[in-house]
Amino acid sequence: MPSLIDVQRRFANVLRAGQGEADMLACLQGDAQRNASLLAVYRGNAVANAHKALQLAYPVICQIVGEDFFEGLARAYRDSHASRSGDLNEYGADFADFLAEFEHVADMPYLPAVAQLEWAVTEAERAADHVPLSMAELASFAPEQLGDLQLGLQAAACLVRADFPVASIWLQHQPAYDGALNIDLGVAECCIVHRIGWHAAVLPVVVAELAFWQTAQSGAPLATMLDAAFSLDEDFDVQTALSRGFTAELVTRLQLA
Amino acid sequence: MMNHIKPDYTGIGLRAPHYAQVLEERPSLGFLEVHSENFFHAGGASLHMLQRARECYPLSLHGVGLSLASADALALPHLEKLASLVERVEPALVSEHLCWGAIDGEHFNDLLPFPHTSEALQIVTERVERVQARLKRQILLENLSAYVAFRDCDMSEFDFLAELVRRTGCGVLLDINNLYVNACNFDFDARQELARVPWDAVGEIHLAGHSVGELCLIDTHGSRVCDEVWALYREAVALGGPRPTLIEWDTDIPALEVLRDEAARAAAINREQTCPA
Repeated sequence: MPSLIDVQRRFANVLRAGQGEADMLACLQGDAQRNASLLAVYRGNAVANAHKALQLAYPVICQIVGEDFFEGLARAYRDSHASRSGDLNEYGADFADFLAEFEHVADMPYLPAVAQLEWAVTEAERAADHVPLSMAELASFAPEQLGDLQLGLQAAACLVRADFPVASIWLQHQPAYDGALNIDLGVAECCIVHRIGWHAAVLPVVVAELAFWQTAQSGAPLATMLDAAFSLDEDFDVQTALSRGFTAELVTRLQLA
Repeated sequence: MMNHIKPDYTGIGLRAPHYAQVLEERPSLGFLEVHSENFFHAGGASLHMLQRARECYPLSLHGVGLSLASADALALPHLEKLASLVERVEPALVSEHLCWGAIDGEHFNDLLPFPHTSEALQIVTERVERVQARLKRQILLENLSAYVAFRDCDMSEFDFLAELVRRTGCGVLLDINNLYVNACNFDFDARQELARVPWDAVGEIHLAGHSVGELCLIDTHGSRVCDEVWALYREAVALGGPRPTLIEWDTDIPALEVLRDEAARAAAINREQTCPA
């Protein structure tokens, strides 16, 4: 009998690409032809599990390319990106990188950016829980302190800047969206993936607003956040940006630097 | 908070389609079981649901990804996540499968069989000891359903499990459907195999449905428990006494009432042994 590691490597070869079947069959009891078909059952399970996990994480990509094509993508992804965790919820983290290099989707250059956004949404859904602060809590600080105030963001917050209209694409492919598709692929968009209560959400923002919250996430105080935003847009509306941020439950900590 | 599962309790595997209904209606069930890996994250709706469910029911954490019988080293990050979850929800039971799922770092996210050799026994023994030491508690190991059998085994699966119990003090999760599926697939007598079960160590029983494939029975967990498995269950309970029993259903998940109905049927059989007429 070959060693355990040897048997498992033979089994893995069959599961991975149906290779080296004879080596595996030599370890098995019973009729070889029947065993070959049974190994195919295992291989089918492995492919189906990976496909299902990818579908859960990337429902928008699946809608865009259609279920049949998505199944093909899932197979090609699995062939080049093995699962590295016993937790299938981790599977698919590199899907955006894969799409960027996969020649059969080269005519849909926005797909990798959409995939990146979907993974951020998946991560937001399971990020640490947050207790949001209300904007009224800003008022407990004296006006001269505000510039030194650090705004801590919820753990799920992910700031996204894409070359494509990813927020529009994502929002218009949600089950609750019943309008007609209205997407200009020539537009670059920014957005903030976050969580409202238990639900992940995508907040479209302008570039200056993104810079504003990005600066907060880096740990810099409000004065620096304002510098970052005004350097991009001298008409930046602080009041509206703060109000949108607090409504989105982004801010979970206020602290003087 | 209730944290004990009495031998005559029956429960169901709690899956996403039933989260809201179970929390709302709080059906009378002895315990709930979930797949550990689905709650490995820092927060979010599912984990919140589990913590709320834990306030009303004893929990069983059933792992599918630790790959205890792999020749690879034990995945310590995975074990750490399990340990955090155990600390967080204080389950009554923690179980894993007697199987492997990864080699050379590549995971197949499936429950794969391996030859029951002395070499494998030594490897699994060492892994189970490490897991139990880290979790500071006993784990149960579940017998596997399989579609292929290995040529050179030194012992049967239940002899392997019994020896594992003797060496590590772990418990056994006896899956009656898996035993039945294997008996049909490999043409052995399931009843005779029941005689090899180390009964004192059995901490839980699983019941589920399977599908009949062209070549073999497939352990799909997608239908009601079949008559033959009910009969085998009755025999198991008669032999070993009542044990916490769980209805597993993972594909084509039906209405919660169907699961409760199956659990009630198991409870009736379990009780026959608790309170003989």
